[in-house]
Amino acid sequence: MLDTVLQQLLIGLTNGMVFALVALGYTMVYGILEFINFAHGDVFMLSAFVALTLCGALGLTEQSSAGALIGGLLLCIAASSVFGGLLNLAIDRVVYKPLRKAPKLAPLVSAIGVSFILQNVGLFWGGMSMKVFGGGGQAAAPKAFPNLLPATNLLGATSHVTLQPKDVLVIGASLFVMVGLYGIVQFTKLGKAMRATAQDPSAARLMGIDVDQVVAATFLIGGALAGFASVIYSLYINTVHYQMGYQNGLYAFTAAVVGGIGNIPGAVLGGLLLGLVRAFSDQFIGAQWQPAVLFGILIVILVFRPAGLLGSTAREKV
Amino acid sequence: MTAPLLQVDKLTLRFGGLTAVSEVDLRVEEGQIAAVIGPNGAGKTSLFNAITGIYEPTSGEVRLDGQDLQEPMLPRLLLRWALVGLGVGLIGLMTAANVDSLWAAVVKAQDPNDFSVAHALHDAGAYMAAQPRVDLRMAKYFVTSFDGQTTFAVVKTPELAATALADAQKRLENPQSDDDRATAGRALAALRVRAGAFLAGLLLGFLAARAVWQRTRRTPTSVALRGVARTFQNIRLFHNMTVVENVLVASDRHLRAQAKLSDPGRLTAFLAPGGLLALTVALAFAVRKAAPDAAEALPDVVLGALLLGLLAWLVVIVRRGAFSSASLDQERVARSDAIELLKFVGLEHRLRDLARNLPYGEQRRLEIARALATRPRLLLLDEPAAGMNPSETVSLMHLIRAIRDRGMTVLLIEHHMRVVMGISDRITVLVHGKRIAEGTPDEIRQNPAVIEAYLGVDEEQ
Amino acid sequence: MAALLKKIGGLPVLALVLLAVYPFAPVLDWGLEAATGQALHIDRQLVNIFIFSLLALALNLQVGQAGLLQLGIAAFFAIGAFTTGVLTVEKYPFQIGFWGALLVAPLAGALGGFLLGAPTLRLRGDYLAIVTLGFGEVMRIVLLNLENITDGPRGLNPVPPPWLPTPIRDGLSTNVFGAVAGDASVGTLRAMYFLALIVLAATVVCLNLLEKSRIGRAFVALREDELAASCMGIEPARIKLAAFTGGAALAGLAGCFYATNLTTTAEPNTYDFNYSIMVLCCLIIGGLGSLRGALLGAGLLLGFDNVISPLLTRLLQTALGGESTHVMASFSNWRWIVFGTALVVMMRLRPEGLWPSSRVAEELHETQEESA
Repeated sequence: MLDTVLQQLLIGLTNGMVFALVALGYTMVYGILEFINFAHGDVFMLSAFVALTLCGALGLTEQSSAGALIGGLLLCIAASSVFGGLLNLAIDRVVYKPLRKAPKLAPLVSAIGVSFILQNVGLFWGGMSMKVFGGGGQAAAPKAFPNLLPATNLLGATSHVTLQPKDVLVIGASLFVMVGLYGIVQFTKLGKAMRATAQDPSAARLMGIDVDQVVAATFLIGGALAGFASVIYSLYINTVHYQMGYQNGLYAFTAAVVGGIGNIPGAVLGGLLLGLVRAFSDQFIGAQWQPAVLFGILIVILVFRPAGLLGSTAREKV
Repeated sequence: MTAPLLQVDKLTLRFGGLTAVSEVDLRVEEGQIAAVIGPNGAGKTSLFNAITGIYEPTSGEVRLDGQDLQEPMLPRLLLRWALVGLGVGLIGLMTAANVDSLWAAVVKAQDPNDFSVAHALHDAGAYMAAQPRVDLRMAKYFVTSFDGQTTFAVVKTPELAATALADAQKRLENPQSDDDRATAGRALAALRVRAGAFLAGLLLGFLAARAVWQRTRRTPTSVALRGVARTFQNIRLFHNMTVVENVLVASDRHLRAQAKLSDPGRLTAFLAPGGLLALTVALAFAVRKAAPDAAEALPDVVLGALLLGLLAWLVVIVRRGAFSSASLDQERVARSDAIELLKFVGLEHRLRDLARNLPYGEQRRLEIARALATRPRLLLLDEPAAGMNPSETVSLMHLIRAIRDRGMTVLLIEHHMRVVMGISDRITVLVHGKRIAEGTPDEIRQNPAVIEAYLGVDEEQ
Repeated sequence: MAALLKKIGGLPVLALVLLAVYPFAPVLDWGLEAATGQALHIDRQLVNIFIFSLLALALNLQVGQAGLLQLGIAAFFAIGAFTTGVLTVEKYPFQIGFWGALLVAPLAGALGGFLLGAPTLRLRGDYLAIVTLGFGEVMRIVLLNLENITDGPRGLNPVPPPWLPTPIRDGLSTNVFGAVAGDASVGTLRAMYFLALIVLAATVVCLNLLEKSRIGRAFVALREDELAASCMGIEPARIKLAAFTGGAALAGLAGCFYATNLTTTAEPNTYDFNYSIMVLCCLIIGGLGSLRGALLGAGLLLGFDNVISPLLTRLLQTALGGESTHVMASFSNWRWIVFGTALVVMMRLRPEGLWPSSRVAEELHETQEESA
């Protein structure tokens, strides 16, 4: 029993880390623009496709040499992060930016539209005639992501709890990135500008902050986080699918809301909480009820704390 | 001495580290015009917002007519929360008991064309109590444990099934074999989980309903419904509605209250269609039961009952609904009332204009008319003279006096000293969130603390 | 001409009369059949459009009128369809038939809407989006998992057609030349056509009245300035809950028609997020908050799906030379790009939609003027 609990804790933690990384992108954008970037999950998905394409192009498989693997992995992470960041930035410039002063519904509906376009791009991408895409015959089918890390149990083969190198990678890399993000937001000039803009955009503008640049940086960082998360997620789950952005985006967004949307530590907390709840409900209630359980938790938290766990109640200026 | 109309006691409002309003007392007697003055940022608007339920005060009380503006805790609320808890508890119970298997045990266990409700209820009871049950599958009767994991017997007739079921029950009550003990143990565990889920749901629902109530004890709506109306410093009209529509929105509360008064049989009228619906379904069942071969007749009966039900619905909707003739009458009254109010504030020439096309001064007047349409006892005006020219200001002073003469009490925030001193009965002075003075205009004019606050201390002295 | 139109009650009445007569004299069908040799059965397409329009009107009540961003309308549609399924199929003892289901399905939808709305409608507007989105997803999964009740991925069938008195059924099986030969199901199809048309027309009339009533006024006030409205004694939570429940009931009604017309509840996966967004897409294209816009949007969208999309696929196939199995060669795989682009472009160029109500257009343009 204890082993099961420990194992689920571990699974929950790794899943939660990925949710948290994606949730950060939602929450940062919301904090500044007060708008739900529905396309964020699909940026995550397309970044995973970039990584998979790169793996295919480099010919990375389980059998590749350690040097090639490490180099290839780093390249994948770099490429996906850059791709995610730039894609997110481009979407903002082309689609959202002209709608900054429109009623709230406009950017939101546009984001849903972008999400659909990206999903469709993912579907077509899956039809590429590369070997990693299964020749492209079945575009909509899930694609196998090569298992690039050894599947050994770091706790020894006899242990009932499995801790694989990929678990360590997910947790370590996510923590590293989160600490880095915290450093940026807390201590750099850009970070201070971001916090100021989130609190009051017009006041920030009067103080000489280039709000436009801050928004751009937010989309860039959020997209890069999603790109980064997509690689470690793919390494962990070993499957890439054009609808994975929607599913994970939904969970990640729920995590952001649970933590208190607009609140960066809240997104991490929400992600971890959701990951843990998911792992335990899969174990003790049944995987088929997973969305229902998570949804129930969301409702309960919102009823008791309408602004999320760490969020503060927004005060409308009258 | 009777209680003042508005009584604010030690009201404090803190945002994070900032104290916007600090232990402010305020009394407004019925029929007075009272004013709150103070330099910018003194917390005047925050005070208004706390009174009208927009901000939740950190501490202190606001009373209207001696009664707290917060909805009081009443015993019937406990009942309401308990009902919500019961609902959530039932959801928990059904989830734990697995409603899908329950369905299989109750509905699918019988031949759909020879269905006995009594039997179904019995099955449901047995399932919920985790007792053995009989399933009909492929024309055979399976006597199984509650979760279907143990099969006690497979027989061909219902009579044999009944005997086998009784046997199985006995076996489980007095388990001899390990298998039976395991089955009985599973049943007990399942019952515990169900009870736990029900109780957890009950508690959760109760607490959730209580939490929501606590958050909504004082809302802008509830304060408005108690008879406090207000205007806003930065005019907040419904800009894309016409002038008369703006006023009508505000008079709707009054309309609804009237409709309720004149409609004592409201509840029964709304329940009637529901009852008819239940009757329709029951009738359909009854006909099926009574004459299974007369399947052809069934639709006629259903259709008849349905048409009856629809007719009842229509009658109810036409009689009571939002667009009924009664409500058309109300609408006419409301409209003439609104036009009368707009005449009162001097906007009768603007009825059909969109609110956003009005000049500034008229927008302020429209906001006052809109507030008056809620038929308040106390009217809060937040800087009504801001941005008005001298002649508009004079007519505004006349308007405020006329409002008072209609029997309403007015509390206003104003920077315009001529207005304040000209019409106020009592004046309260706020500085940095604290009350520094209170009195008649003459007293305030001569109060050294007030003069100091407004003119500043001469540092060379 | 315009004067004559006005005399008989304007465009809606004219459209209604045309639609009521059309199945008996399907001139367009005859013309197209003569020209292309293929029977298009426009009246069968029209039934789908009627049903989809009902659903669009339901969402319009919630999103367009009450301003609640609801992203899970398909869940309530599914509730209606599966309630109808459970209550009418032969394998269950209820078998109350279409007419009974027509009453119960909206009630079931309303119940679902109430249960979801009561705890969540007080939340910040954005949160409602995620809550309804999640609910849509959960409803789909729950329907899939309750296999004993819903038959899981197979769905419940056959859902029986509505019972009609024989003379009416016979009367419906005719056109201007007399009885339609051969097809015995024509009567049922026509019955669905007219039932859907009647219900749709009644719904439009009711929603139109609602818009002009004090509840309609409260909707506008809440959309414009919720705080000011609540200070005037309007209860936002109550009005929103009423709109949400009403919309859910209407969606349930549409679900009842959908299942009956299809003779099956279809598999739960039909009612997914994409379906909800497709309905939203209708509203955005037609004009959010506008009844006629919702109808136009529903027509355009289904027209695209059922007429233009197959046509383009044929063109694509010809261009690619023969039977390509590539994912891009079938135009139905492009539909989300098309819908997505439509949403983005509409929001940018014409946020009020193609056929907006005048009030909503003013609201949208005001914000843009102010921002300019």
